[in-house]
Amino acid sequence: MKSDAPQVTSDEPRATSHERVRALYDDYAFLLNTGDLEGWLGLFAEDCSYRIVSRENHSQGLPLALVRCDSRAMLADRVAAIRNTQFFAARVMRSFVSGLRILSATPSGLEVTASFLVTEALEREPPRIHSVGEYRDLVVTRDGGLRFARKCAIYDSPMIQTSLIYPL
Amino acid sequence: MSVEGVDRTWPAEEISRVPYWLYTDAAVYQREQERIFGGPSWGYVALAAEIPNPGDFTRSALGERPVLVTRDEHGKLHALTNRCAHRGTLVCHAQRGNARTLMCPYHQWTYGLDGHLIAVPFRRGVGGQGGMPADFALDSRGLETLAVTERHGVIFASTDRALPSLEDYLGETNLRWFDRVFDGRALRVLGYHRQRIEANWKLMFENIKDPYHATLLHVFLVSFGLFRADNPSATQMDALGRHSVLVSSRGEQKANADTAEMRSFRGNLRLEDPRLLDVVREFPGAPTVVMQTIWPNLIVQQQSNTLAMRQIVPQGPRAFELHWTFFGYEDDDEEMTLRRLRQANLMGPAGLVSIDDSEVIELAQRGIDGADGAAEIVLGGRGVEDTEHMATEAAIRAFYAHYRRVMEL
Repeated sequence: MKSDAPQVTSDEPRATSHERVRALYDDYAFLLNTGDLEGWLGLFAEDCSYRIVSRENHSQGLPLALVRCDSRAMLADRVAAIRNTQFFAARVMRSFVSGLRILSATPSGLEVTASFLVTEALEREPPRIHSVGEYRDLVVTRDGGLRFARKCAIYDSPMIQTSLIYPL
Repeated sequence: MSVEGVDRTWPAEEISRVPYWLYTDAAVYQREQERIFGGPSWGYVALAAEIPNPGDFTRSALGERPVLVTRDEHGKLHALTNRCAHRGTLVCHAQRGNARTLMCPYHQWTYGLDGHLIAVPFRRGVGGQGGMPADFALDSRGLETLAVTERHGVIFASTDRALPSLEDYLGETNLRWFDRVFDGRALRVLGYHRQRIEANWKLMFENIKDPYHATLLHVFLVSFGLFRADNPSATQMDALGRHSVLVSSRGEQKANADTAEMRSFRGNLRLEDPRLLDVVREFPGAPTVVMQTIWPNLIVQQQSNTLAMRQIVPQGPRAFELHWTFFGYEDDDEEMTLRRLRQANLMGPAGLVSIDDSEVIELAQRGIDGADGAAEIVLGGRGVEDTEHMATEAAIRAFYAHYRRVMEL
């Protein structure tokens, strides 16, 4: 059986796999920060699961997500909505990702966590912190590169200021 | 009403003109807290499914008043002001949990789940010194208790103990719509969203009484026919105008004479993954969307298969919180739950539809701040009657007719 797991065992030193995964997260933040949402979609596996969930719901085992996409196509629908149908005040959101850690290498991929901090700057307003939290992700190899098979952004405080427009 | 020499007169005959100072004035806001949220109204506080077991509690709010909803050891519901009788401290700071007693963290005054004061430390002093006065009685110092009522799993509370029943309060028409979603089946909570919006709370309430915007602002709703002016629809109020429903049926995604006037209609919009809108009919009758506003703090959302309570919690004249509780039914199968969770993408602080509202409501407040004038609300005439179409602002006028009576403005 073909495994989705990136090869990180005997033939690759741990530091190298960490570096490759770190590069994936750097790409992730770069594509979001430059507003390249179409490029950002390319970091996901076709059958991916993408969720943005409050810690309140997550810690109680409640299934509701703020954003829930059960495929890359559904994620693309979200991007299309941001581009074409949603009404919102113009803003720049900026993502800072730190403390990346590969928790385990399993047959289905790498379990990875990292912290995120996302700022939001609207025209004519001082910038603010939009959200902070942690990723709980599954990273796999697809089409010769690392991709997210699962991305779950758990945000720490349930209170959202006004709205969440761009992905975390 | 006069505030610091500023005239706050609302011309008696002008129900279709809503003065902008209603959305900014601190004295008006204070009176709302007393007369509306602290007055003769049943305010939504929780779903029974959130506190199913003896000892369960959850925090809530009625206006700015912090509320605790509990189920005591006998299974009886209580609504209490979450404010210690000693110094006013929040007795309970956890969002929810299960406990035998409620203890204030500051000086450990301890209350029963029905709010009565059980014990205070050092009541007799320490080493014979100090302590409470001899006439200090526990039984007069409980947490403030509120009137509480439940219908089909939905819990309401009030500071007013002389209110009519919830059924009479809702009135025949709005009770019927309420019972359509809350038909007695046990509910299952799917999760919460919490959102702070920098605008007056009434703008949120009006938004759900306003079919005019829904069919223009919301490209997503309009293009997929989920709510559109040319769909069969109705607006129905209670006798006083304080509650209302917007009712509609899903239309087709095709252009016609009416969609030509909707710049937001996109006939070619397609979903790459149509599972997002995998809608099944689950309620009797033709309507596919029923948005109900229950005075003074509740919006009941039924859009396709996504169901939610939206509780409005004012935070000063220029801000409010919206507390969303998404739910389904205990007897939903896995497929139905998944459907509800996917359609939840439409709603909430990141909703494909409701983002438009939270954003535009803040813009409304920005424009209103400091303005002298009044909003003109005359779509569909100047009356407050029920209608069988969406080209009306009658439900907003009805709301303000009642608001003025309560506020004496």
